[in-house]
Amino acid sequence: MEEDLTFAGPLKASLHVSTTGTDADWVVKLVDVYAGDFPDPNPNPAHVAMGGYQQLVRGDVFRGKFRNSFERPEPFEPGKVAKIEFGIPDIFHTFRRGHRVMVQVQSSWFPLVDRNPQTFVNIPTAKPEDFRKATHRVYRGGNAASSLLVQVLPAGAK
Amino acid sequence: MILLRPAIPCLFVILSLAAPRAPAAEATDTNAVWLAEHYTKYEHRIPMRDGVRLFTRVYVPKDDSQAWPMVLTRTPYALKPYGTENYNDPAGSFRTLATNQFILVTQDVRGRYGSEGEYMHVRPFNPNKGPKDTDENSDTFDTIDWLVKNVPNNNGNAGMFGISYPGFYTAMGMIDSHPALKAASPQAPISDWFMGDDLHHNGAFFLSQNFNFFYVFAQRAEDPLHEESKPFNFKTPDGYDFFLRMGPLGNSDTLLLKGRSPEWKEFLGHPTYDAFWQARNIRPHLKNVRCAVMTVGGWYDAEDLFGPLEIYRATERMNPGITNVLVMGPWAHGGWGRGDGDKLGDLNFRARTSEFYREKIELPFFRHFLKGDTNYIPTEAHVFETGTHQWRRFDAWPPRQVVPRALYFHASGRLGFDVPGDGQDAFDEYVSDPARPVPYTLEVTTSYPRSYPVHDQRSAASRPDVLV
Repeated sequence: MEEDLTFAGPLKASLHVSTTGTDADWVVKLVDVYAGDFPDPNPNPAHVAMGGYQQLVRGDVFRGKFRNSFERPEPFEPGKVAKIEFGIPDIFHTFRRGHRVMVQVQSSWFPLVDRNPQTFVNIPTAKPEDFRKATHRVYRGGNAASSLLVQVLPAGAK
Repeated sequence: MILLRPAIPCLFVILSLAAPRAPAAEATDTNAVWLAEHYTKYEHRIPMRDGVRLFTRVYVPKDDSQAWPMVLTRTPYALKPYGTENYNDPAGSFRTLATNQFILVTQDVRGRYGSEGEYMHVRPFNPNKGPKDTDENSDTFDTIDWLVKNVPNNNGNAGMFGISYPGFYTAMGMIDSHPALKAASPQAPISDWFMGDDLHHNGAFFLSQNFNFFYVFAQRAEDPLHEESKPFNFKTPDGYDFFLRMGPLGNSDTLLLKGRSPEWKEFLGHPTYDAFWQARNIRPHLKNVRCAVMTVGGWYDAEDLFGPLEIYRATERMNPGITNVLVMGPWAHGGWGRGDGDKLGDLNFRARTSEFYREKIELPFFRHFLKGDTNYIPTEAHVFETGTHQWRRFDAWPPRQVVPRALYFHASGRLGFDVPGDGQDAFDEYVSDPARPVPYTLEVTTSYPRSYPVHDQRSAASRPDVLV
């Protein structure tokens, strides 16, 4: 970026997805990618390379079966596009000039979060054979666009 | 100043006058000696409306030149060392308050350590209590009522604060506030264990942060006031490998805990947002708050970040006209309560943010509302801007000037505020294999690194099952 960019407030992930399975987790991470020439700490006993550092700013997870109701989970229909929308706790972060804004999407975050079997079952009683590989798609065009809603704080705002 | 044992990284890190490194009154522990020189320690068993007595520790300043206000913390994490001869090493916020003449009160909540009654995790608020019915709210009310009538040299004003679980008890205590309660500061409070704090986020179960915590929490020692709890023996430092080998989630109870944490088993029995979890959501109950409220949280709190933001908002919405302010800093769980707050992981904030908070934000808040100190101007949102590393003040949170904008996912991994030109069918895809889940950190640990919310994500970005 050529100028500082500041986000202040809650985030909201809005994804259009499909899966070959019947359940899936969706982890969305907002990442600050530092400039390539960002200086290393001095001293630097851990030999951290800060150039291109991908600092997590905020990440959160959504269990897909709850996309329409947290009380009555629903399976995904394999291959069919479904919308997932969830709020992510507030941030107050400025991406400095020369940095990049990155979003990462993944379907596991382990062992922080337990594994989603990716089949629609009651997870606390799932059996080993319920855990299956699946192909997940994130759509990005037309009415199926995917985005992260942010709150931009204009420069100089008080 | 980690609660159970300093060696155990545990979930709700708390600094309630922290467990001392040595018997407190020994000459080597200068802080405890200092406390004993300046404060008198009392231990009370305070009767609640149903007759159950709650164990309560009270430190009263020896300086009786004037009456002092009380600050109450309610905790499930013990008040060690027990005994009126044994003084604590006051750390962090407690030290700041102790050096500024406050009566420091800490209580074992119902059913924990020295207190009678039955313990229940995040006990639901009961809006329809009969005369003898109790919950954490009535226990707080009865405690404050007893304290103002019985503690020597108190000025009739009470405050409350606490981090994490004690933050939850602080928020519970605000509801239908006791008239003597003038100021409350819930810090990293739990608000909802299914939606966003500790146990689940949006229904997804948080495994590694909680497993050892509930194992330790459930232990019933023969001599709980003096024995230390023992951590789970993982027999490996590698939590990723351990939990992968564990297999399906149900094995955490049947093969590992084997019923030793009844609560863990109970949680697994409620895999949806059913009446059990809905009753444990504090947000709808934050009504009739008549004290000043300062909610505090850390942008990088891995345990209770959802809670402070939600409790600030709910309090604001349901209690117009009260002083209700928000403080958010660049902290991990409870990081403001102790230490300098100048670093987290590889980040260097170039300022002692925690010390600043304790001296310039927290202390003036309590001095103003409990002692009438006029040198305080409430700031609706006192928030630390990460990236530029500076404190800023706003008259609303989020700031009024913010503009909502969608960051769209484009082809080839580009992000942009512009609407993508792709067709309806354009997508990116990846194969997700539960047998090879994406690690959330590269640190090898059976617990969790407090700094993981700011860790470098380059390793994740290089995996084929992570979209960038």
